[in-house]
Amino acid sequence: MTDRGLGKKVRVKTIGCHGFCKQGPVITVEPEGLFYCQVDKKDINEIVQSHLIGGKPVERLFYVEPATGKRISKYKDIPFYKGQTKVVLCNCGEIDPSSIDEYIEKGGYDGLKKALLEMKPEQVIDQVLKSGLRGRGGAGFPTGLKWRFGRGSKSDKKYVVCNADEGNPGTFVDGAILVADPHAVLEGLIVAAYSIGADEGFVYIRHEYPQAIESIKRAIIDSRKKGFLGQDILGSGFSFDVSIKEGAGAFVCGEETSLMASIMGERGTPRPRPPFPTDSGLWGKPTCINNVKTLATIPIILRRGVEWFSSIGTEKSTGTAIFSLTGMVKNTGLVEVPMGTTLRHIIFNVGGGIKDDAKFKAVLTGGPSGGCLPADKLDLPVDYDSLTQAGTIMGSGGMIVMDETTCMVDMARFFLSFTQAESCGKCTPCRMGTLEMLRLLDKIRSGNGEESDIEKLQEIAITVKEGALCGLGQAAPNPVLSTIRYFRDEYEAHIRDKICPAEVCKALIKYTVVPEKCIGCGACLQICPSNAITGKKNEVHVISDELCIKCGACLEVCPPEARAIDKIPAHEGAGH
Amino acid sequence: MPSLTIDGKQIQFKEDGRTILDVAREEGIYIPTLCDHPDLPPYGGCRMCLVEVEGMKDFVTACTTPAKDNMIVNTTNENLVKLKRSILQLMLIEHPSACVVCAEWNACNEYRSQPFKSGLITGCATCPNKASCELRDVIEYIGLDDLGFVSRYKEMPVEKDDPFFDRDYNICILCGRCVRVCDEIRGTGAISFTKRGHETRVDTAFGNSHLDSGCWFCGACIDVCPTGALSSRMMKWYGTPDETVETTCLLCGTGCQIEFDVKWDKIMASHPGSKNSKPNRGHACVLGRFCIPSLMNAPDRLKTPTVRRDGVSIPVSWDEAYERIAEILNEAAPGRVGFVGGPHLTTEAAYLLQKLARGAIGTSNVDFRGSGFASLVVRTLADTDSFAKVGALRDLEKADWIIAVGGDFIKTHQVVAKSCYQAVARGAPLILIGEAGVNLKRWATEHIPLKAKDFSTILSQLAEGEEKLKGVKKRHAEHIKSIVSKGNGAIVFGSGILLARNPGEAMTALLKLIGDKGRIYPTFDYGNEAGAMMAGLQPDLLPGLTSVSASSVRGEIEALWGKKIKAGLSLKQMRMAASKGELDVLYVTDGSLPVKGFKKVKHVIYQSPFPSEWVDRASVILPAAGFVEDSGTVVNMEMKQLKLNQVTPPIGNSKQDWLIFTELGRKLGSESFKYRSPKKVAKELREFTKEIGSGAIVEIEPVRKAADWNPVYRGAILAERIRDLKTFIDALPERERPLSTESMDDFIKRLSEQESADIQVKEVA
Amino acid sequence: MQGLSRADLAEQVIPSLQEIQERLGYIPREAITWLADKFHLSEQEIYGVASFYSNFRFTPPGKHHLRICLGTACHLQGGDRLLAATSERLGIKPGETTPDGLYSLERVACVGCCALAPNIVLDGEVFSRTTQQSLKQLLDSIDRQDKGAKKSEEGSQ
Repeated sequence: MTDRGLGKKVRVKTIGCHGFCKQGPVITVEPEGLFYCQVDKKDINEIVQSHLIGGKPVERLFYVEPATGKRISKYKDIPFYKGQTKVVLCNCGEIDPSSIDEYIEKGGYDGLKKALLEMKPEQVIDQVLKSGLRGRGGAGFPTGLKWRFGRGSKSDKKYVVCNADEGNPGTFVDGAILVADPHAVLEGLIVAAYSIGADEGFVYIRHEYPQAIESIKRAIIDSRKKGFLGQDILGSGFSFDVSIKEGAGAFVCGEETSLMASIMGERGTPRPRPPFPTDSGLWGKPTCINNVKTLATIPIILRRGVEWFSSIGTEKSTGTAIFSLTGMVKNTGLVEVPMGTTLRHIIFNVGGGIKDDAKFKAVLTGGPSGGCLPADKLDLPVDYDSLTQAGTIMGSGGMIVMDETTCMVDMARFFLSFTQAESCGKCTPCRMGTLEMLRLLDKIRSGNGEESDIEKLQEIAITVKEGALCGLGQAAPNPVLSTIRYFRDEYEAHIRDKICPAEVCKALIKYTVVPEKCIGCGACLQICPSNAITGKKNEVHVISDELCIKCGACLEVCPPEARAIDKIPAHEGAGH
Repeated sequence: MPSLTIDGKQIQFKEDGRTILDVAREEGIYIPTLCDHPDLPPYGGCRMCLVEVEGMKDFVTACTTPAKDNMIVNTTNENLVKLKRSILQLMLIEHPSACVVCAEWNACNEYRSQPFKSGLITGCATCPNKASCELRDVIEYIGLDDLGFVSRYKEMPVEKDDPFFDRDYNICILCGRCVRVCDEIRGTGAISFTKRGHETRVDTAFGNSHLDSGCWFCGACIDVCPTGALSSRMMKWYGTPDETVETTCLLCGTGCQIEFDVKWDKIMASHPGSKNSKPNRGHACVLGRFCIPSLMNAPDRLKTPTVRRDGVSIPVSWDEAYERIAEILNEAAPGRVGFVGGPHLTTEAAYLLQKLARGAIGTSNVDFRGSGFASLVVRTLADTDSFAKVGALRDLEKADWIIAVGGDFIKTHQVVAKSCYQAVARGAPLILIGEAGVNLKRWATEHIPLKAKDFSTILSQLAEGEEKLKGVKKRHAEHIKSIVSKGNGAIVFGSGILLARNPGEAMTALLKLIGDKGRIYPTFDYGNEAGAMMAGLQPDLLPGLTSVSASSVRGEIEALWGKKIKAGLSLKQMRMAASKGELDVLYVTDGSLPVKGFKKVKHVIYQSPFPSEWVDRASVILPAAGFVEDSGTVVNMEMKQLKLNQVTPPIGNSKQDWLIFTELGRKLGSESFKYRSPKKVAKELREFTKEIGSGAIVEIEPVRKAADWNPVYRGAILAERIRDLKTFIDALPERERPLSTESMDDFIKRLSEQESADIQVKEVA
Repeated sequence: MQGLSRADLAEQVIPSLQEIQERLGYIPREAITWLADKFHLSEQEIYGVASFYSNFRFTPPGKHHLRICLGTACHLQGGDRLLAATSERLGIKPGETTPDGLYSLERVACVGCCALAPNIVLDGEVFSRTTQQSLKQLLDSIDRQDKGAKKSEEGSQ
């Protein structure tokens, strides 16, 4: 830039996640709001030359709307962004996360100043309570109420913890916020500490998020320098400091009591409540634990007021919901919509519909603790209570869209295998129940299922749900229960007909070469890791059922003009 | 008073944090539990105590939910029972014992605690079952009669390589009691949960043996195990005991109450006594938990009196033996006769032994082996009238700071260590002075690694509040001094202070240091050291700790017993006299006394339950009963009188010590020896102990060698007799590695270099 | 470590394990002993904690550490098939290291790049939108590199 004399005219900054991951890497040019997507290294020169110097935007890098094929230059006009309401994510992708000044410029730490200098802790709690903000970690407990409990506990020492142990597979909201707008989280944490009267805080963050760790580390250092952390913050007499604790790979540590055990250096197993952390938490002292999204919402509530905030969303679920939209959807990425928005809006307007315009089959919210909802639930408003009623949960923001290529039995098994592997093993229902359910699902998937297995599954599921010690176990059966509830026919197909309708379950399918179509190119033969494919060049290839490990590599590399590899039900004769 | 309702029954309770389960138990309402244990903090893992509380969304665990006023609790709700049944079925997947569906369930129930028999009758080979299987109790309560799921055998080998107990984790239900008791109560951490989820198991680090893992074999894990996963090897096969009797263990000075299973008039097994029995409250050490039956049932126990005639020991009747002893004693001049008692005698027996010496023979040559520490402690306490400063173990658990000096009592006094750990776990700082084993170092918040000879110096410096502390940096000294200046302290000390340059000074300093703001805990190494002292088993002390030179008391006793009394020879002096040929008769009741130095003694009278090297020299051998066959009282390290209950009759033809002394006294013509029970002896002794007089402090000569832990009982070296104990004691030195001092950088550098060297070696090969 | 409370010491266990693993690639037995000394805990307590968390491994990783993401999005888009193929190619199961010490294979719950699924992580670098083809090419290129490196080493000797 400086080489070309643009040093003073153009400022280059790195930003956090802009949300539209699918189109990454992205470059935006402000103030025009121009949006270049899927930019390659070699495109940079062209952007600089043509746009920044020549004033002519590079049209070929603009976003193409799949439906119309039109190029859209400004990101505000792209449906993915147009359908969203950015409240918590308002800074994400706007500011340089490593610059505290930019955050302050955007009104950052105003909320903290207001709270510390103009309000009593009780008043802050009142505001949060009035805003109707509910915990974004999944359970939806009113944040203000939690703080009030924390405030009410008498102790010489209290702690606050930011729960950034986002372990849900398929969810990356907390990580993205921490990378893109760490100060918002930090500000929220400081306000929380002030409200309950804590002088020490922790950010418990997944080890798998090195960028987020770097980002929050830097934010802590910068905000110490500016005096937002440390002794006598802003001259208010309130002192508080934060340190970072990295998780070590245990999903259950997202659960409050496990998280505390982990911070204290123990095995991350949960313990029954009461006592609640707000009474007896870290080292027996009152501890208030809030999710990243919850904390990131606090500064905005303080800055823009309770009325404004509670006007967004529904009566019982105020504010916005943030999802990481993934799976078989066209626009994957970070999505923020007001509570009460329908699933259909999120998936079809913001998400742009199903990949390759395939048929929508199900959507899962809440990660492995949530449930799958079928097409007839698409008009369900997304809020805590509606989702719970439909058999899933809000969870911590994972939203996974599935199309017809997804087998629901396999899906249920996938989530269950996750929770089962992450079960801490402390309580019997979760330790043995999830294992037994997994065995049953495997039995069904392998084509050995019996009619009674579905009932058995449900029975164990209810035992685990009602009997387990912590949230992980109590929610672990949700994917199984919801798929049985909405997709029972698929289970029955596996059991009765020994068919996997989505052609996913390995034991029920096999790969075969359609002789008429095979051009003998040898691509499949080369990639096959188990040497299951034989055949001479230019001759029809054959897959050996015995050797095939069903990894699907051959199907992937078979040239589109041939499409000679076929998946067929396993029990269909070899006489193809 | 607040009240709640359980299953329609209204119950009043004190709202002090007690849980629904506590309230139900007090009221006699059974709520099944498996992971809960009265000694342990609530866990909430087994889910068997789930109850329904009106107004609460989900079922809650009774073991963790505090009882609140107006709560309505239901334990028999249909859904709840169904849920529990289902959870129990899931649990039984991990407990692949055919129990539940076994056709012999009823027959087995009848012979339940007799697996040997039930094995024969029912063909059961899967469960080492103990007298009580709590899992079975719960199954019966819930009324489970089918398994529901296929049991899965984990195919883990039954662990039999470690001493004393077997572990079969194939039938472990992961209630965690063993891990928690080891970690949270005993502070050992020899076992832990490893891995997670369904792969969780109770294990040591990297599957090490328990000998290597730091296990002290206290047996607490076995005592809390609700299934047959952990079982004591010894008590596995003997069946239902005819009765169980609790008595005091005399293998060290703690005075633990141990319960014995008796069958066919033999003790078959020992385990800690009731939770309410002081001082150990349901805990024991490796000796009390595993060693006593083998010791008492040893095949080489002395069973018949013998008399040496023409160089050969010939079995004789008791009367003949007494005759011969009377002959020997009457021949010798009283001043040339020595009596060596032992700290393993009951207070009554010790009293009678010294009365025999002083009253019947007319000599004060009475002492016992290893009396140095007891002598120092008891005399100093008597001299300064500070018996009240000796604390009970219960107080130790509540101490706010602890100094440990002169002993590795985690090794020697595991129950004291447990109490100590309870304080440490509560956050009390532990200041360790001198060297000690790895556990004590682990618990210590401050470690002052001084040589033993400096104990008196540092204790004096602490007591006098001097600015400098030997071997401690200045900043640190401040910290330590600030700790000990607070109230409610505890000083736990052992016989190691005898190694100090000036043990007397160390002891006085220690008392001054504790002042009125705490208690001291002398860890006596043998059973009844304090009791033997008080009974007058000392050359210069009369019963009741009165000095021989105190003429008024002495006069009274002389009048009573009809013999003149003056100070006699101590054990050391006896040995010197013997080596000069100035001692003719030695009456030994402690076989662990070395023969060395006594070879010129003409006649040895040996009285013990066990043979020793004295047997070859003894003119008369008297078979004595072991402590489980005896009754009377002892005084433990808390300076409390504890009762010894007779558990089994004396083996063979042996007799209790007090009885032998009584009968011998009469044989010697002393009319006052007409006691019919130890109670009568105790009554007589009480006359002397009413007012504890003053004994002049004797300078204790420092012993220059630290004694290894080598538990003995009246001449029986335990490790020689109990193979498992020997294995254990042999493994102990391995643990005494010095703590690592290298930094993480150095450590990682060393490891990396080592690793690259290994790789090179591999490549060359 | 004098003067620190037991709680202070215990709090350091996980960060220390993380640091050791960071530097050595795994947690050797000696490290457990060393940490037990440092933190006044038993080896069991340290091992119990370390074996609870899936990030800690007790065997040395291969020269190339390959982690295949099996998060939801990656699973949907064939992560498990990638794993099956790689496992077959390397001849090891997830969690193992090849006998020559070149590769170790691990599954990982989620690397947080779900929108770009399926993901794999090779030696700390995330590769997104992986296909069977691209994974094969990646591994092939590493094999070639290693061979080349070895040859030039031999040549220089």
